[in-house]
Amino acid sequence: MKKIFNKFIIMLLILSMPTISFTGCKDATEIEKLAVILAVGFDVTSDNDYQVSIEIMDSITLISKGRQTITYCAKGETVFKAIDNIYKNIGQKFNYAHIQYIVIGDNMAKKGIASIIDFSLRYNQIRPTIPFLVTNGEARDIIETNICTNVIPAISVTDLLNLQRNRGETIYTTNLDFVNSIAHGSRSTTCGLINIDKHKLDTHVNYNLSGAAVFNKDKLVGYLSTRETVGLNWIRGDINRYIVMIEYPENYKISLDVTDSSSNTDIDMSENNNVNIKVNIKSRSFIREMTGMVDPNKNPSIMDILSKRQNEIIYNDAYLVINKAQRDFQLDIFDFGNTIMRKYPNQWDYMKNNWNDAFKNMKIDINVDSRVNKTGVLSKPPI
Amino acid sequence: MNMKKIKDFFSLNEPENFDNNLLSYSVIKNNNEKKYNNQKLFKTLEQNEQYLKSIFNNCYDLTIRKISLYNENKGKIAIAYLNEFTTEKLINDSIINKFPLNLSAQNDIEESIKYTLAINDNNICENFAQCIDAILDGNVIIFSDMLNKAFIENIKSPPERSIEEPNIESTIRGPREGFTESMSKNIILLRKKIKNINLKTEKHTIGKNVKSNIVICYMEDAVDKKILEEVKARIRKINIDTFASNYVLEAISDDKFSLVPTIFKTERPDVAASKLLEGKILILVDNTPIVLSIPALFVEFMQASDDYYTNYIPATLNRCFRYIGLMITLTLPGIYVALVTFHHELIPTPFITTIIKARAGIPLPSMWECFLMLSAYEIIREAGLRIPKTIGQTVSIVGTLILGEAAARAGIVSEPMIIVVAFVGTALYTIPSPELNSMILFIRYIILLLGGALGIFGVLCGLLFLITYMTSRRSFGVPYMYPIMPFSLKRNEDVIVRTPIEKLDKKMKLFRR
Repeated sequence: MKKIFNKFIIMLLILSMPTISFTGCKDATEIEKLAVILAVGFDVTSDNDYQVSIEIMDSITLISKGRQTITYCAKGETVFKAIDNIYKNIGQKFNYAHIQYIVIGDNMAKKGIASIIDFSLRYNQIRPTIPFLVTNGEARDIIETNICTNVIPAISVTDLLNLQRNRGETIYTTNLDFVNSIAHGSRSTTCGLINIDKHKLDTHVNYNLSGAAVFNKDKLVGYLSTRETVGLNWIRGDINRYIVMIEYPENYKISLDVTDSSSNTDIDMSENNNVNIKVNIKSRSFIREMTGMVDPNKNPSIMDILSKRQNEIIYNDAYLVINKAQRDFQLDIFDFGNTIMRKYPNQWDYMKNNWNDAFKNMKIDINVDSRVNKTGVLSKPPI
Repeated sequence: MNMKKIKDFFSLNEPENFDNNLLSYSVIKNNNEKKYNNQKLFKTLEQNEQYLKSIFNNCYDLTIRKISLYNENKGKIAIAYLNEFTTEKLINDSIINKFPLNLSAQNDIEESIKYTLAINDNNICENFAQCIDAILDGNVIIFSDMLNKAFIENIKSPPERSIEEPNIESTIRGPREGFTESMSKNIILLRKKIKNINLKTEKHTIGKNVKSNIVICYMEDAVDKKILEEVKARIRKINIDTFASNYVLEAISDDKFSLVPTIFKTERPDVAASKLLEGKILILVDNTPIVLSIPALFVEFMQASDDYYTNYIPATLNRCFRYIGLMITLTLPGIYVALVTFHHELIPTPFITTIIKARAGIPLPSMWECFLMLSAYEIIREAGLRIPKTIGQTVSIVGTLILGEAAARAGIVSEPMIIVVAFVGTALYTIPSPELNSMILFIRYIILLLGGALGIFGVLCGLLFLITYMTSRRSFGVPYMYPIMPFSLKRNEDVIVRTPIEKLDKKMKLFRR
């Protein structure tokens, strides 16, 4: 009996050891005492202070109708000071682990976002997988908009992002991607563009998530249109669902549904350090909509014609963005620099300082190989 | 000399000589036993009768009937029995009416009694110890004049339950019979299944005051001799009075403070028979329908008899669910509390809204909320065992539904916690063995406290401790987690996967040597 009692005491001691030495209990917070931050927006004010808007989970409203989040806004000299100032308004501890996206206002982005990236990567609670978005106006408007697609507006943005990312109309750049591409390689990157859609046909207030913003290091230098963004995604091979429109036969339109696409970049360096870049794009699609009276199942060569026309469309889209990058921005937004760095690390060492200058005159070959291989349920249009 | 005085003081009048103090023998039974142990039967009927009456004084149910059998006046026999064990009619039919009326004293008395009553040589006794044991066992003893021998006739008809389906271990497609309180019936049930000479049944009598019979059953060709010797040695050491198999279990188990059961219990003859074939040793205890099986492995407690009566695909699937159920019922409260108090980042964002809204305004911290709900559930469950069946349903509906919902609506507990506790409480019953069930309750509380104090880290520590503990257990020298740890792929055919019976039969399941 005594032996067992001793054993019991030893067991208790062993169990209490971690309780004392590991500071687990210090971080214990009941979940309802947390202010779960869902989205953060950054702006810069006229007197050069940071203005932070946050969207937090509303724990008071019991009726689950309408928007379930509250927004707060505060100013401060640094990013974290601004967030800290919000504590004056709420009596809850912030939890940063559930941030869905970070949106940056136009002014702020032009000024430089190094402080935001540092803030988002330094604190261990913030995930390195938060997508960055840029807005043309103030980030505060994006955070404060009443959106009707989800009771939590931040989640409606992530839903939108995931869908648009597959459609190739936006760029999905997380904070870790951002820092990876501006720290080395071509030192420039792109991220998605979000705005409040004012020219919509219906009456609901909603977001418009299309297009992209181009960064040189941490500063915004310009925007890409939706079509240019699609071109950029063709080159990256990131498109999984996209509608390509072609004309066949003349004056009749066909919608092709791209189900799958991929690309690979071949970079060769000749002996006098001439860089040849070759992008091979592959895609597969099927007919979604057709009005002209042709029957591709009876005449399979029609499919080849459709493929050729599709090739042209994709080629044009891709070239559009390459032109823009080379002429307007003079920036390697495709991150070819990174590929070279991996393939030719020795040459890259003395190439990297004026890589963007070299890039603007570089010849980039695009080779599109697309296939249209299904007609859908119908062969020729019924009427 | 001193000792002697003290002894005399406590056991008031300890007799030294039986002849003088006949009546005092039954005052203190222990002393009594010592005395009559070696007492031979007397030659005359009167002496035997007097002695027997003195031992059974104050026992109204002892009946001694004297019958004249012979033509001569002095030829008599006496039959002694405990009258509640048998009926008058049975005695008349099977003993008294069998004697021929004209038995003469010239005949050999012993032979003629043996002949008429068909008494086996083993059932003839010469000393009182045997006689008394036989009477207490419900047999009828026949004394005769001029013979210092007694005959034991087994015509007892004690009250017995008929063979029924066990409530706890019910099956869908298995046999519907279960063990009963009667040892003889239980052995018949086993013999009926295993018609093999290798099935050995060894009878032992244990106990200080109550002599209870226990029978050790095993297949001689399959059993491990070392374990058998160990079991026998441990049984010989038992020095307590037993009424149920759990008394024996606690007396012979390896570790008295074990968190996990190390001896398997069953109420089903089919399960018991398959254990025998696997090389296990069964212990049948008189007056209890529960049979012990030794040695026991952890995986046995997760096997249900229905696994072998259904197709092996659903059987395997059911077993997987059982192991998942085990993990859920052990760890879910701990993990939930850890997530809600420490690891908010691990909860999916849409779900965190629900939890926050549910928890808003709850006065208790999550851990104590969970503790309260689990305890409330256990109290209702324990009460449910004793609530009379006629009102049981009403009470359980009030207890679970109304109490749970009212508590949630009043803001004492949150809805997700009710879901967790209800799920955990239900998942417990996926485990077929009630022995393992009841131990899990305790371990679950420990893991809950660890989770509430240290988060997932604490839950992991608890599980690690549990696994280490379980792997270091031994059941009669056999590693408790056997086919899992130490790992044996060959024997793993009946652990999570239930292999088709044909293949299983070749390797004879888990344990056979």
